[in-house]
Amino acid sequence: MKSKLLLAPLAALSLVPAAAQAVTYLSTAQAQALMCPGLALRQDFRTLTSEQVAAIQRDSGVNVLTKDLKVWRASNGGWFIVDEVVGKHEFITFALALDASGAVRDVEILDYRESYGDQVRNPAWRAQFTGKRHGAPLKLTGDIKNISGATLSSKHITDGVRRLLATYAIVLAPSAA
Amino acid sequence: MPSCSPPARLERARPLLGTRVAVSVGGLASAAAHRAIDAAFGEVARIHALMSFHDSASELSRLNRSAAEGPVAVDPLTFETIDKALRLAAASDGAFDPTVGAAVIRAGALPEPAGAPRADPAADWRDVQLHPAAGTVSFTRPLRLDLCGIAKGFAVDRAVSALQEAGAVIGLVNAGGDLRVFGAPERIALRTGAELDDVAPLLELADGAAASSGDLGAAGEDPPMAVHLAGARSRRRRGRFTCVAAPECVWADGLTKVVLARGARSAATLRAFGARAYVLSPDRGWRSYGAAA
Repeated sequence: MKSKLLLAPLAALSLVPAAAQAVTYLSTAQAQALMCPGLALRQDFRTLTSEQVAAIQRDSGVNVLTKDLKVWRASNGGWFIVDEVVGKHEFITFALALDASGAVRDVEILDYRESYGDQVRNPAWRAQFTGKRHGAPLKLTGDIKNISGATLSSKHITDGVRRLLATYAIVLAPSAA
Repeated sequence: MPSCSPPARLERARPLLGTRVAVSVGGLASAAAHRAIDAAFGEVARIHALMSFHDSASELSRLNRSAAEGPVAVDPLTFETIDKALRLAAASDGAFDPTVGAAVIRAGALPEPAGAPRADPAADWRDVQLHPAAGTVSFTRPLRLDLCGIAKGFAVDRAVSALQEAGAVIGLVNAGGDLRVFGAPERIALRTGAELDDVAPLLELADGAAASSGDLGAAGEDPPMAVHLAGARSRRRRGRFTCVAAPECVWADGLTKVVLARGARSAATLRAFGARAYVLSPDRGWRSYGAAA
Protein backbone atom coordinates (compact mmCIF):
# COMPACT_ATOMS: atom_id res chain seq x y z
CA MET A 1 0.00 0.00 0.00
CA LYS A 2 1.23 3.47 -0.89
CA SER A 3 -0.60 6.66 -0.11
CA LYS A 4 0.19 10.33 -0.53
CA LEU A 5 -1.81 13.51 -0.01
CA LEU A 6 -1.63 16.01 -2.83
CA LEU A 7 -2.96 19.52 -2.56
CA ALA A 8 -3.70 20.36 -6.16
CA PRO A 9 -3.99 23.99 -7.24
CA LEU A 10 -7.54 24.63 -8.33
CA ALA A 11 -6.24 26.33 -11.43
CA ALA A 12 -4.92 22.98 -12.67
CA LEU A 13 -8.34 22.04 -13.88
CA SER A 14 -7.26 18.79 -15.44
CA LEU A 15 -6.37 17.51 -11.98
CA VAL A 16 -9.31 18.91 -10.13
CA PRO A 17 -12.74 17.41 -9.95
CA ALA A 18 -15.22 19.77 -11.49
CA ALA A 19 -18.24 21.05 -9.61
CA ALA A 20 -20.09 17.95 -10.64
CA GLN A 21 -18.92 14.41 -11.07
CA ALA A 22 -20.62 12.71 -13.98
CA VAL A 23 -20.20 9.03 -14.69
CA THR A 24 -21.94 6.93 -17.29
CA TYR A 25 -21.71 3.30 -16.29
CA LEU A 26 -23.98 1.71 -18.87
CA SER A 27 -26.02 2.82 -21.86
CA THR A 28 -29.64 1.72 -22.00
CA ALA A 29 -28.76 -0.89 -24.64
CA GLN A 30 -25.86 -2.23 -22.54
CA ALA A 31 -28.06 -2.46 -19.46
CA GLN A 32 -30.71 -4.32 -21.46
CA ALA A 33 -28.18 -6.87 -22.71
CA LEU A 34 -26.77 -7.31 -19.22
CA MET A 35 -29.99 -7.43 -17.21
CA CYS A 36 -32.21 -9.29 -19.70
CA PRO A 37 -29.71 -11.65 -21.36
CA GLY A 38 -31.04 -13.59 -24.34
CA LEU A 39 -34.44 -11.87 -24.21
CA ALA A 40 -36.11 -9.82 -26.93
CA LEU A 41 -37.30 -6.45 -25.64
CA ARG A 42 -40.18 -4.53 -27.16
CA GLN A 43 -40.45 -0.82 -26.39
CA ASP A 44 -43.76 -0.11 -24.65
CA PHE A 45 -43.49 3.50 -23.45
CA ARG A 46 -46.49 4.78 -21.50
CA THR A 47 -47.82 8.12 -20.41
CA LEU A 48 -49.28 7.94 -16.92
CA THR A 49 -52.72 9.45 -16.36
CA SER A 50 -53.27 11.85 -13.48
CA GLU A 51 -55.25 9.11 -11.71
CA GLN A 52 -52.36 6.67 -12.09
CA VAL A 53 -49.86 9.25 -10.80
CA ALA A 54 -52.05 9.86 -7.75
CA ALA A 55 -52.43 6.13 -7.11
CA ILE A 56 -48.67 5.50 -7.44
CA GLN A 57 -47.89 8.35 -5.05
CA ARG A 58 -50.45 7.06 -2.56
CA ASP A 59 -49.19 3.49 -2.81
CA SER A 60 -45.43 4.23 -2.67
CA GLY A 61 -45.31 7.43 -0.66
CA VAL A 62 -42.91 8.80 -3.28
CA ASN A 63 -43.54 11.73 -5.61
CA VAL A 64 -43.82 10.98 -9.32
CA LEU A 65 -41.59 13.44 -11.18
CA THR A 66 -42.63 12.61 -14.73
CA LYS A 67 -45.63 11.04 -16.42
CA ASP A 68 -43.39 9.43 -19.02
CA LEU A 69 -42.71 5.79 -18.26
CA LYS A 70 -39.79 4.34 -20.23
CA VAL A 71 -40.65 0.67 -20.20
CA TRP A 72 -39.83 -2.36 -22.36
CA ARG A 73 -41.63 -5.72 -22.38
CA ALA A 74 -39.35 -8.77 -22.32
CA SER A 75 -40.09 -11.91 -24.32
CA ASN A 76 -40.35 -13.95 -21.11
CA GLY A 77 -43.09 -11.68 -19.73
CA GLY A 78 -40.69 -9.59 -17.62
CA TRP A 79 -40.13 -5.84 -17.80
CA PHE A 80 -37.22 -3.44 -18.17
CA ILE A 81 -37.66 0.16 -16.96
CA VAL A 82 -35.33 3.15 -17.14
CA ASP A 83 -36.03 5.90 -14.63
CA GLU A 84 -34.45 8.86 -12.85
CA VAL A 85 -34.17 10.04 -9.27
CA VAL A 86 -32.97 13.36 -7.90
CA GLY A 87 -31.20 13.45 -4.56
CA LYS A 88 -29.88 16.31 -2.48
CA HIS A 89 -26.56 16.30 -4.29
CA GLU A 90 -27.05 13.79 -7.04
CA PHE A 91 -28.99 13.02 -10.19
CA ILE A 92 -29.20 9.36 -11.05
CA THR A 93 -30.51 7.37 -14.00
CA PHE A 94 -31.11 3.75 -13.15
CA ALA A 95 -32.53 0.61 -14.74
CA LEU A 96 -34.82 -1.91 -13.10
CA ALA A 97 -35.46 -5.42 -14.41
CA LEU A 98 -38.59 -7.23 -13.22
CA ASP A 99 -39.45 -10.88 -13.83
CA ALA A 100 -42.84 -11.96 -15.17
CA SER A 101 -44.29 -11.92 -11.65
CA GLY A 102 -43.17 -8.34 -11.04
CA ALA A 103 -40.34 -9.24 -8.65
CA VAL A 104 -37.06 -7.29 -8.82
CA ARG A 105 -34.35 -9.13 -10.74
CA ASP A 106 -31.69 -6.43 -10.83
CA VAL A 107 -31.02 -2.75 -10.33
CA GLU A 108 -28.12 -1.05 -12.11
CA ILE A 109 -27.10 2.61 -12.06
CA LEU A 110 -26.70 3.94 -15.61
CA ASP A 111 -25.71 7.58 -15.06
CA TYR A 112 -24.57 9.28 -11.90
CA ARG A 113 -24.06 12.98 -11.48
CA GLU A 114 -22.92 14.17 -8.09
CA SER A 115 -22.30 17.73 -7.01
CA TYR A 116 -19.87 18.73 -4.35
CA GLY A 117 -22.58 20.16 -2.16
CA ASP A 118 -21.20 22.98 -0.10
CA GLN A 119 -18.28 23.58 -2.35
CA VAL A 120 -20.43 24.58 -5.28
CA ARG A 121 -21.90 27.42 -3.19
CA ASN A 122 -18.49 29.00 -2.90
CA PRO A 123 -18.28 31.82 -5.49
CA ALA A 124 -14.52 31.39 -5.88
CA TRP A 125 -15.01 27.71 -6.54
CA ARG A 126 -17.77 28.34 -9.04
CA ALA A 127 -15.80 31.04 -10.78
CA GLN A 128 -13.34 28.38 -11.88
CA PHE A 129 -15.97 27.09 -14.23
CA THR A 130 -17.42 30.34 -15.51
CA GLY A 131 -17.75 30.15 -19.26
CA LYS A 132 -17.57 26.39 -19.21
CA ARG A 133 -21.22 25.86 -18.53
CA HIS A 134 -22.49 26.19 -22.07
CA GLY A 135 -21.44 24.07 -25.00
CA ALA A 136 -18.72 22.34 -23.00
CA PRO A 137 -20.57 20.54 -20.23
CA LEU A 138 -18.65 20.04 -17.04
CA LYS A 139 -17.24 16.57 -17.03
CA LEU A 140 -14.81 14.85 -14.81
CA THR A 141 -12.15 13.62 -17.14
CA GLY A 142 -8.81 11.98 -16.82
CA ASP A 143 -7.40 11.19 -13.46
CA ILE A 144 -10.06 11.75 -10.83
CA LYS A 145 -13.00 9.38 -10.87
CA ASN A 146 -13.55 8.61 -7.23
CA ILE A 147 -14.46 10.64 -4.21
CA SER A 148 -14.00 9.77 -0.55
CA GLY A 149 -15.90 11.77 2.01
CA ALA A 150 -19.24 12.04 3.74
CA THR A 151 -21.25 9.14 2.42
CA LEU A 152 -24.16 9.91 0.16
CA SER A 153 -27.22 7.82 0.77
CA SER A 154 -28.78 5.64 -1.92
CA LYS A 155 -32.18 6.18 -0.31
CA HIS A 156 -33.40 8.03 -3.40
CA ILE A 157 -32.76 4.97 -5.55
CA THR A 158 -34.50 2.73 -3.03
CA ASP A 159 -37.45 5.15 -3.10
CA GLY A 160 -37.36 5.12 -6.90
CA VAL A 161 -37.50 1.33 -6.99
CA ARG A 162 -40.44 1.36 -4.59
CA ARG A 163 -42.23 3.89 -6.80
CA LEU A 164 -41.63 1.70 -9.89
CA LEU A 165 -42.94 -1.38 -8.10
CA ALA A 166 -46.12 0.57 -7.36
CA THR A 167 -46.15 1.68 -11.00
CA TYR A 168 -45.90 -1.95 -12.05
CA ALA A 169 -48.82 -2.98 -9.84
CA ILE A 170 -51.01 -0.07 -10.95
CA VAL A 171 -50.10 0.22 -14.64
CA LEU A 172 -48.26 -2.84 -15.99
CA ALA A 173 -49.33 -5.95 -14.05
CA PRO A 174 -51.89 -8.29 -15.65
CA SER A 175 -54.24 -7.41 -12.80
CA ALA A 176 -53.94 -3.66 -13.53
CA ALA A 177 -57.01 -2.08 -15.06
CA MET B 1 2.52 7.37 -11.15
CA PRO B 2 3.37 5.31 -14.22
CA SER B 3 2.88 7.24 -17.40
CA CYS B 4 1.44 4.37 -19.42
CA SER B 5 -2.33 4.47 -19.70
CA PRO B 6 -4.19 1.54 -18.16
CA PRO B 7 -6.06 -0.89 -20.39
CA ALA B 8 -9.74 -0.23 -21.06
CA ARG B 9 -11.77 -0.24 -17.87
CA LEU B 10 -15.27 -1.45 -17.38
CA GLU B 11 -17.25 0.07 -14.53
CA ARG B 12 -20.72 -0.52 -13.11
CA ALA B 13 -22.63 0.62 -10.03
CA ARG B 14 -25.51 -0.62 -7.92
CA PRO B 15 -27.35 0.68 -4.87
CA LEU B 16 -26.11 -1.53 -2.01
CA LEU B 17 -25.20 -1.06 1.67
CA GLY B 18 -27.33 2.08 1.69
CA THR B 19 -25.02 3.79 -0.78
CA ARG B 20 -23.71 3.62 -4.33
CA VAL B 21 -21.27 0.75 -4.82
CA ALA B 22 -19.12 1.15 -7.95
CA VAL B 23 -16.89 -1.64 -9.25
CA SER B 24 -14.39 -1.26 -12.07
CA VAL B 25 -11.97 -3.75 -13.62
CA GLY B 26 -9.26 -3.61 -16.22
CA GLY B 27 -7.34 -6.20 -18.15
CA LEU B 28 -10.30 -8.49 -18.84
CA ALA B 29 -12.37 -8.99 -21.98
CA SER B 30 -15.89 -7.60 -21.73
CA ALA B 31 -17.76 -10.82 -20.89
CA ALA B 32 -15.21 -11.88 -18.30
CA ALA B 33 -15.18 -8.36 -16.84
CA HIS B 34 -18.97 -8.43 -16.41
CA ARG B 35 -18.77 -11.84 -14.72
CA ALA B 36 -16.08 -10.51 -12.36
CA ILE B 37 -18.18 -7.45 -11.53
CA ASP B 38 -21.27 -9.65 -10.97
CA ALA B 39 -19.26 -11.75 -8.51
CA ALA B 40 -18.05 -8.62 -6.70
CA PHE B 41 -21.61 -7.26 -6.38
CA GLY B 42 -22.69 -10.71 -5.18
CA GLU B 43 -20.23 -10.55 -2.26
CA VAL B 44 -21.40 -7.06 -1.29
CA ALA B 45 -25.05 -8.11 -1.48
CA ARG B 46 -24.35 -11.14 0.74
CA ILE B 47 -22.75 -8.99 3.42
CA HIS B 48 -25.60 -6.51 3.13
CA ALA B 49 -28.16 -9.29 3.69
CA LEU B 50 -26.25 -10.92 6.57
CA MET B 51 -25.32 -7.82 8.52
CA SER B 52 -28.06 -5.26 8.00
CA PHE B 53 -29.17 -3.76 11.30
CA HIS B 54 -32.45 -2.59 9.75
CA ASP B 55 -33.50 -5.95 8.33
CA SER B 56 -35.10 -8.07 11.05
CA ALA B 57 -34.34 -11.18 8.96
CA SER B 58 -30.55 -10.57 8.93
CA GLU B 59 -28.15 -12.67 10.97
CA LEU B 60 -27.15 -9.58 12.88
CA SER B 61 -30.76 -9.01 13.96
CA ARG B 62 -30.98 -12.66 15.00
CA LEU B 63 -27.89 -12.19 17.18
CA ASN B 64 -29.35 -9.08 18.80
CA ARG B 65 -32.53 -11.03 19.59
CA SER B 66 -31.01 -14.31 20.78
CA ALA B 67 -27.25 -14.29 21.44
CA ALA B 68 -27.69 -13.18 25.07
CA GLU B 69 -29.56 -16.45 25.71
CA GLY B 70 -26.89 -18.70 24.24
CA PRO B 71 -24.58 -19.34 21.27
CA VAL B 72 -26.04 -18.62 17.82
CA ALA B 73 -24.54 -20.19 14.68
CA VAL B 74 -23.62 -17.63 12.02
CA ASP B 75 -22.30 -17.56 8.46
CA PRO B 76 -18.47 -17.57 8.29
CA LEU B 77 -18.63 -14.06 6.77
CA THR B 78 -20.55 -12.72 9.77
CA PHE B 79 -18.16 -14.50 12.11
CA GLU B 80 -15.15 -12.98 10.37
CA THR B 81 -16.61 -9.46 10.43
CA ILE B 82 -17.33 -9.69 14.16
CA ASP B 83 -13.85 -11.11 14.72
CA LYS B 84 -12.32 -8.12 12.91
CA ALA B 85 -14.54 -5.66 14.80
CA LEU B 86 -13.42 -7.13 18.13
CA ARG B 87 -9.79 -7.08 17.01
CA LEU B 88 -10.06 -3.37 16.27
CA ALA B 89 -11.89 -2.76 19.55
CA ALA B 90 -9.05 -4.46 21.45
CA ALA B 91 -6.32 -2.67 19.49
CA SER B 92 -7.96 0.72 20.03
CA ASP B 93 -8.75 0.06 23.69
CA GLY B 94 -12.45 0.41 22.98
CA ALA B 95 -12.29 3.66 20.99
CA PHE B 96 -13.90 1.54 18.28
CA ASP B 97 -16.72 -0.46 19.84
CA PRO B 98 -19.28 -2.36 17.73
CA THR B 99 -21.68 -2.58 20.69
CA VAL B 100 -22.65 1.06 20.89
CA GLY B 101 -25.92 0.22 19.19
CA ALA B 102 -27.97 0.86 22.32
CA ALA B 103 -26.66 4.43 22.62
CA VAL B 104 -27.22 5.03 18.91
CA ILE B 105 -30.79 3.73 19.19
CA ARG B 106 -31.45 6.03 22.15
CA ALA B 107 -30.14 8.91 20.04
CA GLY B 108 -32.67 7.96 17.38
CA ALA B 109 -30.17 7.10 14.65
CA LEU B 110 -31.19 3.43 14.45
CA PRO B 111 -34.50 1.70 15.10
CA GLU B 112 -35.00 -0.46 18.19
CA PRO B 113 -34.97 -4.04 16.88
CA ALA B 114 -38.24 -5.91 17.40
CA GLY B 115 -38.19 -8.78 19.84
CA ALA B 116 -34.74 -8.04 21.28
CA PRO B 117 -34.16 -8.01 25.03
CA ARG B 118 -33.50 -4.65 26.68
CA ALA B 119 -29.82 -3.78 26.18
CA ASP B 120 -27.64 -3.57 29.29
CA PRO B 121 -26.19 -0.03 29.33
CA ALA B 122 -22.99 -1.40 30.91
CA ALA B 123 -22.36 -3.84 28.05
CA ASP B 124 -19.40 -3.30 25.75
CA TRP B 125 -17.39 -5.19 23.11
CA ARG B 126 -15.90 -7.54 25.73
CA ASP B 127 -19.38 -9.02 26.17
CA VAL B 128 -19.29 -10.42 22.63
CA GLN B 129 -17.93 -13.97 22.66
CA LEU B 130 -16.77 -15.84 19.56
CA HIS B 131 -16.60 -19.64 19.56
CA PRO B 132 -14.43 -20.54 16.55
CA ALA B 133 -14.76 -24.33 16.75
CA ALA B 134 -18.55 -24.15 16.68
CA GLY B 135 -18.80 -21.05 14.47
CA THR B 136 -21.14 -19.45 16.99
CA VAL B 137 -21.53 -16.11 18.74
CA SER B 138 -22.91 -15.37 22.18
CA PHE B 139 -23.33 -12.25 24.33
CA THR B 140 -22.62 -12.29 28.06
CA ARG B 141 -25.21 -9.51 28.52
CA PRO B 142 -28.04 -8.26 26.31
CA LEU B 143 -26.53 -5.71 23.94
CA ARG B 144 -26.87 -4.19 20.48
CA LEU B 145 -24.20 -5.30 18.06
CA ASP B 146 -23.87 -2.93 15.09
CA LEU B 147 -21.30 -3.76 12.40
CA CYS B 148 -21.90 -0.79 10.10
CA GLY B 149 -18.69 0.85 11.33
CA ILE B 150 -16.69 -1.88 9.63
CA ALA B 151 -18.92 -4.03 7.37
CA LYS B 152 -18.80 -1.63 4.43
CA GLY B 153 -15.01 -1.81 4.38
CA PHE B 154 -15.10 -5.58 4.76
CA ALA B 155 -17.56 -5.80 1.84
CA VAL B 156 -15.13 -3.78 -0.29
CA ASP B 157 -12.33 -6.21 0.58
CA ARG B 158 -14.48 -9.22 -0.30
CA ALA B 159 -15.49 -7.61 -3.59
CA VAL B 160 -11.82 -7.01 -4.42
CA SER B 161 -11.05 -10.67 -3.68
CA ALA B 162 -13.90 -11.71 -5.98
CA LEU B 163 -12.50 -9.54 -8.78
CA GLN B 164 -9.02 -10.99 -8.33
CA GLU B 165 -10.30 -14.56 -8.21
CA ALA B 166 -12.11 -13.84 -11.47
CA GLY B 167 -8.79 -12.88 -13.06
CA ALA B 168 -8.83 -9.09 -12.84
CA VAL B 169 -5.35 -7.58 -12.52
CA ILE B 170 -6.53 -3.97 -12.21
CA GLY B 171 -9.59 -2.90 -10.31
CA LEU B 172 -11.35 -0.59 -7.92
CA VAL B 173 -14.30 -1.03 -5.59
CA ASN B 174 -15.89 2.11 -4.11
CA ALA B 175 -18.73 1.80 -1.60
CA GLY B 176 -19.83 5.37 -1.07
CA GLY B 177 -16.28 6.61 -0.51
CA ASP B 178 -14.86 3.55 1.25
CA LEU B 179 -12.70 2.18 -1.51
CA ARG B 180 -9.82 -0.07 -2.48
CA VAL B 181 -7.65 -0.13 -5.58
CA PHE B 182 -5.30 -2.74 -7.00
CA GLY B 183 -3.04 -3.06 -10.02
CA ALA B 184 -2.93 0.63 -10.92
CA PRO B 185 -2.68 3.71 -8.70
CA GLU B 186 -5.63 6.08 -8.47
CA ARG B 187 -6.11 9.68 -7.43
CA ILE B 188 -9.11 10.16 -5.20
CA ALA B 189 -10.76 13.48 -4.48
CA LEU B 190 -11.38 14.02 -0.76
CA ARG B 191 -14.72 15.64 0.01
CA THR B 192 -13.90 17.38 3.25
CA GLY B 193 -16.98 19.58 3.36
CA ALA B 194 -14.73 22.60 3.78
CA GLU B 195 -15.07 25.43 1.39
CA LEU B 196 -12.02 25.40 -0.78
CA ASP B 197 -9.58 28.24 -1.07
CA ASP B 198 -7.15 27.57 -3.83
CA VAL B 199 -6.32 23.91 -3.46
CA ALA B 200 -8.20 20.62 -3.71
CA PRO B 201 -7.08 17.63 -1.61
CA LEU B 202 -6.35 14.47 -3.56
CA LEU B 203 -5.19 11.15 -2.20
CA GLU B 204 -2.85 9.20 -4.40
CA LEU B 205 -3.35 5.54 -3.59
CA ALA B 206 -1.71 2.35 -4.87
CA ASP B 207 -2.65 -1.21 -3.90
CA GLY B 208 -4.54 -0.13 -0.83
CA ALA B 209 -7.74 1.20 0.62
CA ALA B 210 -9.08 4.49 1.93
CA ALA B 211 -12.10 5.55 3.93
CA SER B 212 -13.21 8.93 5.22
CA SER B 213 -15.33 10.25 8.05
CA GLY B 214 -16.34 13.60 9.38
CA ASP B 215 -17.31 16.72 7.61
CA LEU B 216 -16.19 20.29 8.03
CA GLY B 217 -19.32 21.60 6.38
CA ALA B 218 -22.28 22.65 8.47
CA ALA B 219 -24.75 20.98 6.14
CA GLY B 220 -24.74 18.02 3.86
CA GLU B 221 -24.74 15.05 6.19
CA ASP B 222 -27.19 12.46 5.05
CA PRO B 223 -28.76 10.08 7.55
CA PRO B 224 -26.21 7.25 7.04
CA MET B 225 -23.56 9.53 8.45
CA ALA B 226 -24.94 9.10 11.95
CA VAL B 227 -24.84 5.35 11.45
CA HIS B 228 -21.41 5.61 9.94
CA LEU B 229 -20.12 7.04 13.19
CA ALA B 230 -21.75 4.39 15.28
CA GLY B 231 -18.46 2.59 15.79
CA ALA B 232 -16.95 5.36 17.88
CA ARG B 233 -17.78 5.19 21.57
CA SER B 234 -16.23 8.54 22.34
CA ARG B 235 -18.09 11.54 21.12
CA ARG B 236 -16.56 12.52 17.85
CA ARG B 237 -14.75 15.77 17.52
CA ARG B 238 -16.69 18.17 15.43
CA GLY B 239 -15.13 20.13 12.65
CA ARG B 240 -12.61 17.54 11.64
CA PHE B 241 -12.22 15.48 8.47
CA THR B 242 -10.35 12.20 8.54
CA CYS B 243 -9.22 9.97 5.71
CA VAL B 244 -7.44 6.73 6.61
CA ALA B 245 -5.38 4.79 4.06
CA ALA B 246 -4.71 1.14 4.90
CA PRO B 247 -3.79 -2.07 3.07
CA GLU B 248 -7.33 -3.40 3.60
CA CYS B 249 -10.56 -1.42 3.49
CA VAL B 250 -12.00 -3.05 6.63
CA TRP B 251 -9.24 -1.38 8.68
CA ALA B 252 -9.45 1.92 6.79
CA ASP B 253 -13.20 2.01 7.50
CA GLY B 254 -12.94 1.09 11.19
CA LEU B 255 -9.90 3.25 11.90
CA THR B 256 -11.56 6.46 10.70
CA LYS B 257 -13.76 6.22 13.81
CA VAL B 258 -10.71 5.68 16.04
CA VAL B 259 -8.95 8.70 14.57
CA LEU B 260 -12.06 10.89 14.93
CA ALA B 261 -12.26 9.90 18.59
CA ARG B 262 -8.56 9.96 19.47
CA GLY B 263 -6.82 12.29 17.05
CA ALA B 264 -3.03 11.98 17.02
CA ARG B 265 -3.18 9.60 20.00
CA SER B 266 -4.37 6.96 17.54
CA ALA B 267 -0.98 6.85 15.78
CA ALA B 268 0.12 3.59 17.44
CA THR B 269 -3.17 1.88 16.57
CA LEU B 270 -2.82 3.08 12.98
CA ARG B 271 0.71 1.68 12.78
CA ALA B 272 -0.48 -1.71 14.10
CA PHE B 273 -2.66 -2.00 10.98
CA GLY B 274 -0.16 -0.48 8.55
CA ALA B 275 -2.46 2.52 8.19
CA ARG B 276 -1.93 6.27 7.83
CA ALA B 277 -4.39 9.03 8.64
CA TYR B 278 -4.79 12.35 6.81
CA VAL B 279 -6.66 14.77 9.04
CA LEU B 280 -7.95 18.24 8.25
CA SER B 281 -9.03 20.61 11.00
CA PRO B 282 -9.86 24.28 10.46
CA ASP B 283 -7.32 25.55 12.98
CA ARG B 284 -4.38 23.28 12.23
CA GLY B 285 -4.80 22.48 8.52
CA TRP B 286 -3.69 19.10 7.20
CA ARG B 287 -1.80 16.70 9.43
CA SER B 288 -0.80 13.12 8.85
CA TYR B 289 0.24 10.33 11.20
CA GLY B 290 0.48 6.56 11.50
CA ALA B 291 2.46 4.08 9.41
CA ALA B 292 4.92 5.37 6.83
CA ALA B 293 3.14 6.33 3.61
